[in-house]
Amino acid sequence: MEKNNKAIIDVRSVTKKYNDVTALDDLSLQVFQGEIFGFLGHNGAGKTTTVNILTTLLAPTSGTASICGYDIAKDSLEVRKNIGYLPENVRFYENLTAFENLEFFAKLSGIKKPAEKIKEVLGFLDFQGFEHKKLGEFSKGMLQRIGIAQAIVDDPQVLFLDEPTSGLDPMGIKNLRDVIIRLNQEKEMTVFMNTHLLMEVSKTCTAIGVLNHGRLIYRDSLENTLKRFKDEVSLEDIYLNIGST
Amino acid sequence: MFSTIKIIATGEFRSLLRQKTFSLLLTVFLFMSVFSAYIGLSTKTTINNVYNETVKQMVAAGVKNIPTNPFLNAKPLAILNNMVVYILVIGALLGIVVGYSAFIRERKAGVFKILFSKPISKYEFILGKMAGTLLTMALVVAVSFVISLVSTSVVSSHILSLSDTVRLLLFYAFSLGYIFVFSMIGLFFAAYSRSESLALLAPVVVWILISFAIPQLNSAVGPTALLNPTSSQAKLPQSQFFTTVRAIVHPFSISEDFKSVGRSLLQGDISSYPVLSLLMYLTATTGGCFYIMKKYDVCAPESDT
Repeated sequence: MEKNNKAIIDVRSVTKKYNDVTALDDLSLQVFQGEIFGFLGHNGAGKTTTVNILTTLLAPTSGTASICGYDIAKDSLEVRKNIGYLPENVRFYENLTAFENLEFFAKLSGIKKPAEKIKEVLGFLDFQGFEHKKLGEFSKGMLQRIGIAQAIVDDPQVLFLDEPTSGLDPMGIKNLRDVIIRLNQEKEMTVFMNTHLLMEVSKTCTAIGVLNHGRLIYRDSLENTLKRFKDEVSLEDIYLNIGST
Repeated sequence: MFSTIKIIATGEFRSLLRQKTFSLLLTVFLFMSVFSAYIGLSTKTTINNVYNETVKQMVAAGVKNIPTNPFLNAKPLAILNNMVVYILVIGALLGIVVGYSAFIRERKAGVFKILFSKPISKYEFILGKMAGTLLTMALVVAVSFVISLVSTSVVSSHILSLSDTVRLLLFYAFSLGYIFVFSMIGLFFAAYSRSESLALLAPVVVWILISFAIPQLNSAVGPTALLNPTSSQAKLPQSQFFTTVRAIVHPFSISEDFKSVGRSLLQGDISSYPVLSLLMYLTATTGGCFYIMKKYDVCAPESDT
């Protein structure tokens, strides 16, 4: 999907402190409508804190941010109506079936006919026939699919994915990558993806940002990044180059 | 807002009905309802047998003024006296388990992040949990009411009068209020405590304090009479010390108040209805839990970076 100049995610000078530890330090960032934004950073860089703040799960210590024009602090419910979220290591009510879990979250998202919508979403994800199994019996890859399903069940404008390929086998990673691209192209979703897998970024994202110790040290389109660092052999080299500057 | 509360409450209700611990306690509670009636029936049979035997002997001895069967003077609902104790003990524990399960479920499942990325507020979540808990307990109490209604009618060999039925209904309504207080205490600790075992242990300690320790302080001289559904006949000491202690602890002595209300309703003795104190306790507990949970950020995810 082509991006336009409308910043659908607008972060301004956000700082988050946990007691004496600064997780995010004056972070300013814009993600534009239609982008698949790969948010890179080493472990502990502050990627999950950023997503937690943007999904209104966590309040920033200072600064502001908006999603689809809604302030995350003042209009948190409106923000939540416009986002989908797949946390790292997604978990569900294990004593319920996949359908019952999805139905519960679909209803909370305000879906009037959840059964029809769930069928449609599972069809889109090519994941039918498992609805009435309890989630305790699911593999990591299957859980991830249900996780995506709950995140997109109300057709959000922005989809947040936190390390979505974590723990998946190569086939699972490829399937997920295809789903992300299709969501962006067919459902016009803007995707914000935390990851440290550079291969995924190069195959999926249209723009990248690099976070280092809570500070954004780089942000550009993937195309420009590859042009700018044309002498580097791989995206990993680019990342190391950016990280060392 | 109400639709979200309804969704959470319904989910809670369905989940609780599938839980093994809840099913076990529910079975025990309902068994106690039947058992209470059985004890009533057994008491009636014993008294009738003794009475008939005595009448035979008195007739044989030529006694003309035969006293009436004492069972005939007993109120039909009096055979359910034991239910007061069962609700005091099993009902309160059931309430704690239901309240505890309501909040620990999300933590165990690890779904807080997904849940609060949906357009629901913390108010709606907490109110939904409370409503689900109340709905579940209401079902338990309603089934127990039906069992008591049927068994009492069977034991007394006639259908209960309207006033007795209303009295029985009121008894179970107050029982629901009493159990709900413990549900809120269980819910509060489950929301507050970081440890699952502590979350269950803490409300049980509170239950012991409320049900056993405080009433002992309150009654001072009749601690062993606590679990007796009939009031202690012993006169309470009137010294300044005991009067002061009673004045301080009485508002917290909910189990004594429940026992008193229950006994009054079942035995038809309308001399004492400490309804106000029971309602006050219920309001204070529910309001207090809600206020503290609102202040405490129970829904914040772990501070992972």
